[in-house]
Amino acid sequence: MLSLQISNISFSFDKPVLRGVSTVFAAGSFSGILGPNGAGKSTLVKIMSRWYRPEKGDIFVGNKPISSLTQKEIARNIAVVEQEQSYGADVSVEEMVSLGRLPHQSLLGEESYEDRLHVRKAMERTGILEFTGRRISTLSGGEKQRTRIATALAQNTSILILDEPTSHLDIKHQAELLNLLRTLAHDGLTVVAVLHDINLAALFCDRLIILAGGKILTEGSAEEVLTSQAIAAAYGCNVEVVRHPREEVPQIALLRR
Amino acid sequence: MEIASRKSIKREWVFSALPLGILVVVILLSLAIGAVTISPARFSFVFHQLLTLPQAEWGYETVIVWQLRLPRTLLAAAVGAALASAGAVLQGLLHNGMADSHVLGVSSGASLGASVAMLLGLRFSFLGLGAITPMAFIGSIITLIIVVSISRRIAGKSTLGLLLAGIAMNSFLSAIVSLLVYFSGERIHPLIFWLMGGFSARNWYHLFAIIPYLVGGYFLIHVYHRYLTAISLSDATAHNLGVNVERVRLILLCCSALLTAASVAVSGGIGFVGLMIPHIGRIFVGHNYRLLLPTSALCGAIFLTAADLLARTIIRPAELPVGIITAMFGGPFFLFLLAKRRKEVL
Repeated sequence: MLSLQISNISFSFDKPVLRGVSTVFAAGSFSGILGPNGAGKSTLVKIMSRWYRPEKGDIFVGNKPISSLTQKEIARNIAVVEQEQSYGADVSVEEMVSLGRLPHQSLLGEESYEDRLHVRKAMERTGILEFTGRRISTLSGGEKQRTRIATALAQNTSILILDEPTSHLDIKHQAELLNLLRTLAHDGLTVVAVLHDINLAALFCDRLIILAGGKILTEGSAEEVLTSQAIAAAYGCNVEVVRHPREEVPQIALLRR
Repeated sequence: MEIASRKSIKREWVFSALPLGILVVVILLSLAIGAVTISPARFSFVFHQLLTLPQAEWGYETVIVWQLRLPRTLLAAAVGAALASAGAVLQGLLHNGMADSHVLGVSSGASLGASVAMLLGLRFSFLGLGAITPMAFIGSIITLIIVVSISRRIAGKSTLGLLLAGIAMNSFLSAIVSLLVYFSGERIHPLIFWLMGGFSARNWYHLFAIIPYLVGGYFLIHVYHRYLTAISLSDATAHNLGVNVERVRLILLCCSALLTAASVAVSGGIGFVGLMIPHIGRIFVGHNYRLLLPTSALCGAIFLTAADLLARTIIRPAELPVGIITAMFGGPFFLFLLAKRRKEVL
């Protein structure tokens, strides 16, 4: 079990995107990153996967800065599920999930029994065993998303980062996916997900972070973060905070004006 | 717990053994058919002579098989395998099913490098293998880098940008080669003969001269096959799986340039093998490079051996350049790909 620490990250394209962002994702927790479009959420994910190098600051896995690790070492610690994307090749589900073992394999080594065991377990966990032989181009949005998560789980990392994993999913599949992430977190995985749906995030995440204008506006439990003032400041819209009828969490209700 | 399904393993065996069997048949046909056709009964006699008698006592059929047809056939198979593998690698690395050494101008770059080596009469030797292949390699790798960087700068990762940059580079380099031919004086004949492409009058020397490059290049690509599959999905996917995308891409681009250069050095520019064959491989074994790479290599070997057989028998005793045969198949195939290409999927 490892925590993930973001330490004073700054990054800009033409103008600043992230400005001195620092936070800690505790080991075995499920954290949701919220924020309006253009707040820098996806950029932060790409910095955590080291697709982008930050101008300032670093990311720490446990107590190791990822700038001191090779890409392969990073992939043994952090698995990333990027936003829905199109693929240039059309492999089978099993082949795709097997690629999750890449960071653990040597260049000349063959797939080991342990590799196949992890692949099988990841497919079992995400419920995709019944279509292992299908090509990814034939999968529905939900099936494709589960395949991508299975690939990440096959990496057998301590940290799992997901960028908008519930987009393109219907409400049933959203609930299934978020329940799976919650279970994984309670089993010891550190899960960080960029989410758009504030109510779902409040319902499933242990901790929420609102990113706005390249900075962390507020962070904490759903109770602490979801206030009408915070939502107005981040998104510029009026909401009423209400109680969930069954669960002990706040929810927001959008007001027309 | 049953981990790997037996069905898929059986399927793999079938798709590995089948092209290998076809290749053996095509090679035997290529050895038997030509200006002098050797009947199956005489063929076993030829083999018997090859294995038991000293060279001085061979009959003319045995001499034809050993000195003319066998090196030529094996060379066609090796070049076919190399061009198809290079095409498969380029298509995966560039996420583009229309990429191929010929379309991207890499073959023209190799031609230019090899022409310069021939005209300057470069006699230096690299690993004892002559100057032509190394010069062809330099030409091809420079062309590849220019085409890929120009197209990325102008049009991102679009197919059109890559094709246009390749076509422009192809025309430009072909013009330079033509210019070299124009000014080459008495050295013109061997150069023109070579530029026409094909396997006419190629011998064991040509085969041995390129085998180390082909084996080395193919082996390196095979070592990286998992990384190549990951990159062919998307750069971001490969990166998140721990692949150093830029470094692996550079290594594999060099390998595909090496395979192309060695092929061009012995057989001139033969188009469309690298474009067509990987698509046929994908139909049989899918997009995983663990199987796609050997299948493409085998299918490429089958295709070019058969094309060479056609080229030297269709108007026998005269010969057609093999490039005409490959283009007869490849041209319409290329148009078919263009027409089909509504979706940006390989």
